[in-house]
Amino acid sequence: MTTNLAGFFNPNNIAIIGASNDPVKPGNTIINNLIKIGFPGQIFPVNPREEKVMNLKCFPSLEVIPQPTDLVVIITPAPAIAEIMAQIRHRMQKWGDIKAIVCAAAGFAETGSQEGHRYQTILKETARELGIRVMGPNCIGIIDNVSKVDTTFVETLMPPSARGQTGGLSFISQSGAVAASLLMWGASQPVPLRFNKFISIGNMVDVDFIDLLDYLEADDQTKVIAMYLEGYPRADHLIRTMGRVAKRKPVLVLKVGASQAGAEAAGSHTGSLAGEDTIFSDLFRQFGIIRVESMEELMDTMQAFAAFPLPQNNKTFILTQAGGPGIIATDMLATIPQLQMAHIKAETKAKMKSFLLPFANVCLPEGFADITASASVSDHLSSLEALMDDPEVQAIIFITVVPTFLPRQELGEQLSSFLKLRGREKPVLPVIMAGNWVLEVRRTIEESGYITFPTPERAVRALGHMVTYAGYKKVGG
Amino acid sequence: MNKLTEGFLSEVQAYQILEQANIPIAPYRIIKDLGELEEVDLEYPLVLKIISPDIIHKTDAGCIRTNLRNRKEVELAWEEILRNAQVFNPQARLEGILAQVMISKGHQVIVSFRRDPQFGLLLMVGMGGIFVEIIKDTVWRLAPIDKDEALDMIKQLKTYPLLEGVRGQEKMDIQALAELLVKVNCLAEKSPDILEMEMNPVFVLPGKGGTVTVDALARIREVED
Repeated sequence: MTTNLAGFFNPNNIAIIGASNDPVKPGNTIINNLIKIGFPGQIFPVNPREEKVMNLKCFPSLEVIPQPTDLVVIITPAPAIAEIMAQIRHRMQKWGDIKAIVCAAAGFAETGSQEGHRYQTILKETARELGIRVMGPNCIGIIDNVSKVDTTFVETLMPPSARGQTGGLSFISQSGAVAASLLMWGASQPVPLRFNKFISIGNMVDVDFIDLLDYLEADDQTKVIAMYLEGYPRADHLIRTMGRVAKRKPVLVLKVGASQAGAEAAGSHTGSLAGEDTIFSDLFRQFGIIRVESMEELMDTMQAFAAFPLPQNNKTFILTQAGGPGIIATDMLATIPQLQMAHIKAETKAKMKSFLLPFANVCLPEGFADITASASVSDHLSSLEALMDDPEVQAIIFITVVPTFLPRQELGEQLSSFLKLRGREKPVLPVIMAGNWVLEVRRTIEESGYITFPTPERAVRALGHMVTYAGYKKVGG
Repeated sequence: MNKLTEGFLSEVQAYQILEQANIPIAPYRIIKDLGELEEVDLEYPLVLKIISPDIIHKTDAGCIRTNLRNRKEVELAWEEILRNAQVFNPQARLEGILAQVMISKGHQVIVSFRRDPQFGLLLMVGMGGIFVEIIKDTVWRLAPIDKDEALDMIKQLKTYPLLEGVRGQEKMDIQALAELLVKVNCLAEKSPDILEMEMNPVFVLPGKGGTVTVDALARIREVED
């Protein structure tokens, strides 16, 4: 089947079946989200019991919507699916317009019940017969910040000004709950996380990972793809597709559900020596795919890939204003074989010593400098500049625990300007470690387009993945 | 035994497949009766193993004897193996005894492939030897692989430093192991009826000594009668 997903990502108009005036219901949040993101087309609420939904004219059924409608979002629970699909069939006979269905409703095959399977079959068979693509069921839908489409029923409390902002990161989730929580968590970052496309695929009755990977591979605005994956019937097909895409842009995956289902009771060691999870890890490595182990690691790593340039090599410098956090970073770095401490040039060392306080530690050990808590804003920036100028350094972990006597906003502004000017040269991962005290500082820095980290180990771990991917690119070409 | 083993090939049948794929096996002879021992031109020490489609795990059945240094030891082992086979499974079909040159140098690994319902054709290299169940050091790839990928597999083994030679020990023939993996890959691709094949152990020999396989097991698609 050729991948034609434009109906989801670029619809002319959208109908919402199950639209509601009750602000706690998904049928209300969807419309609210579509309005707030600034969807440029028309929104057609469908509900026989309402005249208007949120001041929009509400239609008793799909057939009477007077304009062509590419996308239908179904929020009405599963038992109504036969009736809804009958409406869709009628409309198609007259208009032939519907290209895509996002079936957000639950109560389908995921319940394991016979009824649920029957509802899913009705959805699948009717849509296939009518040539309509389906996302879901049991999903939270999609967001496309480029075309300003948001069919999710997640309330992130993101201010309207922050909505519809595009970034290079696209995300596909097999779990609606993981997708929703990541969306809400992303919205709570100092500067809200900017997705390019955000997709919750649910039960994959039609559109699945491979369709979406094909689509996102061709989408030039998507620079990084992150996935939450539980399982896929032919894992080799999925992994080969991920690998093909990973040659063009980073593909990150949080793979969960390490069951032994695939391990046959074979009469040899081969079956018993390794579980399915080990095999997944090895195959991800074979195909240049980055595997992360937790939600937090996913969050950090996907943002890092989207924000920072890829390092040219693994030579890393830890520039810290406080001893302990610098040691934590150094320890973490030592556990990641892909990373190495940079050995900087003698001139760079001399330069740093020339302006830093006499008791500052420059390069004990190599690749590490502690500019001490007494360091001024200019000490921070001059050190960073000296390291940026040294070709022996290809990545910098920049750690500061902002004390009360350091003018924190000035630090934030100067760092932000520095990153705007030189942040594309090599990755500089800022670790700004003082909770609420530095929230504004982090926001100021992040407005430069780069992210900040609250702890050193998280920054080092994300950098490790970037170096690994850069290595894959070199090997695979 | 039961239906589970019906699809297994004997060690000798597995060797014949490997030989056709140009994969080196430790020299062996099939002996049907003790008198044939006269004509055996293998160098001592020898290993004796039962050949039976009904005895897959020869060690568990006491049907393998190693380090036999002379004719007398071979004769004793012969009787012992037949006795143990009889105890293990009185109905077992016995096709003879395999005498094989004993390999006592090099580093033991496992090489295998399997057709997996979820992943398709998978290749594996792992640490071999007696600690295999404890250390569980395995690396997997989807077929096809080339020699570079095979080398990457080998380098990913936790026990890779043992192949490189630790504490002044000689380096093992890693290139030959990588070439073996590529040959196994080709064999697997050309033989869709072999569902699973395991060579365990394979000795990776020092220097440029190559590799030598001393046991193999294959499971084939069941033939409907």
